[in-house]
Amino acid sequence: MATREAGKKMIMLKSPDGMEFEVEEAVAMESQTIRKMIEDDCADTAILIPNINSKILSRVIEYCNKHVPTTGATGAAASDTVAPAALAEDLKIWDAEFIKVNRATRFDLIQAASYLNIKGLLDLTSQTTIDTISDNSLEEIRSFLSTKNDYLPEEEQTIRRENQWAFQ
Amino acid sequence: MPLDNDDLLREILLLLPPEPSSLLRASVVCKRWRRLVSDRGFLRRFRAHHGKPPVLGFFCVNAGTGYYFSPTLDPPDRIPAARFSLPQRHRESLDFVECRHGLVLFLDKKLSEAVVWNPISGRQRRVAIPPEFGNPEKWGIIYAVVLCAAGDDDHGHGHGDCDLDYFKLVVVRMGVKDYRHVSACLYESKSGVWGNVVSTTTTGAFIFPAKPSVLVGNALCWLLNRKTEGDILEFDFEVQKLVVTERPLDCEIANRGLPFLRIMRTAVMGAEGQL
Repeated sequence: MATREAGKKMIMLKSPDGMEFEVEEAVAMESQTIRKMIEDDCADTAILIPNINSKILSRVIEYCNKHVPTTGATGAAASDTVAPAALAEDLKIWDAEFIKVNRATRFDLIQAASYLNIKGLLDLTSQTTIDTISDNSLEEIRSFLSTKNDYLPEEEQTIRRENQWAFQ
Repeated sequence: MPLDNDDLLREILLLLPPEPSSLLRASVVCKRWRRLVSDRGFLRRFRAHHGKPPVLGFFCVNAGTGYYFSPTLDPPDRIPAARFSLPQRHRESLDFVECRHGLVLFLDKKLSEAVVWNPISGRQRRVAIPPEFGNPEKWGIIYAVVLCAAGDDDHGHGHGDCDLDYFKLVVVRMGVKDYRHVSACLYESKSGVWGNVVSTTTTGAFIFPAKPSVLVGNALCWLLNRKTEGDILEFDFEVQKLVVTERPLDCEIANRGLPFLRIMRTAVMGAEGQL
């Protein structure tokens, strides 16, 4: 039997560096990967989350805590007096603050969101990365992503020449 | 680096903006990016993700020089007119007809051919108009329409993937001796044959030429003019039926005329209809 605390079902998440996080099941189930484990009864004790260190896992839990649906008697964020649009706006502002992290952390978050299958977090981290790509020059993109330009100069020129208008 | 994972990078690149320069610029970052964004499956998902594609511009018809492409987007998405120029044969005379689903239709009345062109890929197909439909140079096709038909088999189809794989062509002409007589004929590229010529009699009209056809479900609709202002000619290409729907009697247009009338698609309780 899983633990129960004040009517809320709790589960334990473990990072590979040995840290343990006790979270509400509803929060953990923001991750479709964990939801499946729970639904398939593979989550009796603690769930080990491979490849995601405690620093990133705690950020992911922070995100899920904020985004877990607040219907029912769950916590202070649930309120009958706040309009859904206002809640959505509040989440947007919160997301914008949440994603103000360095490049390495953002890439770790993308990887974690992808592995744990948390659509909202993957969308947020991916969109922020795309915004950076869209707003910068090719050289800046390559440097931002640590991607090496493996075109020969003439190869790159050929591509540019074929569709010159796109590079104006 | 997490972005070393192709699957993950692909998901991120799907979010690139839908404007035409977007994937071209991404493809110059490195060879891996070019491989990912030029993959057919990726392009299909990219179109599906963004839904309605951006309007790149218009084809304008000019009495002197024929047609030309007029771009509407700002640089770097401003596509030069020369990029969308149909290579023509020597001394060929093509009449620009209309665009739909990313395809452009021309008629070569001398050769009795329809020319369907995908300006993005540059591919074109020529389809001979069946002799039993009459000599188009002599009797005048009053309207012709091209439709992408790839969605018939693939309901998730986003136009742009099709590239002339499957299309439908409809031609409409007036009767030889009786202008009230209107005939239509459907060609499907899948079978490569024209269907039967279907006809109907209008109340004395021809199709108003300045307005393009409107596609409503499986039917193409045109406004008729002259004595029957406001009547609608409808060709259902699924059941191959040509009918005239008369304007409601209480629809008063006497002093306004056709410029104020248009066919509009509308959705009522989930069903598509026309106004």
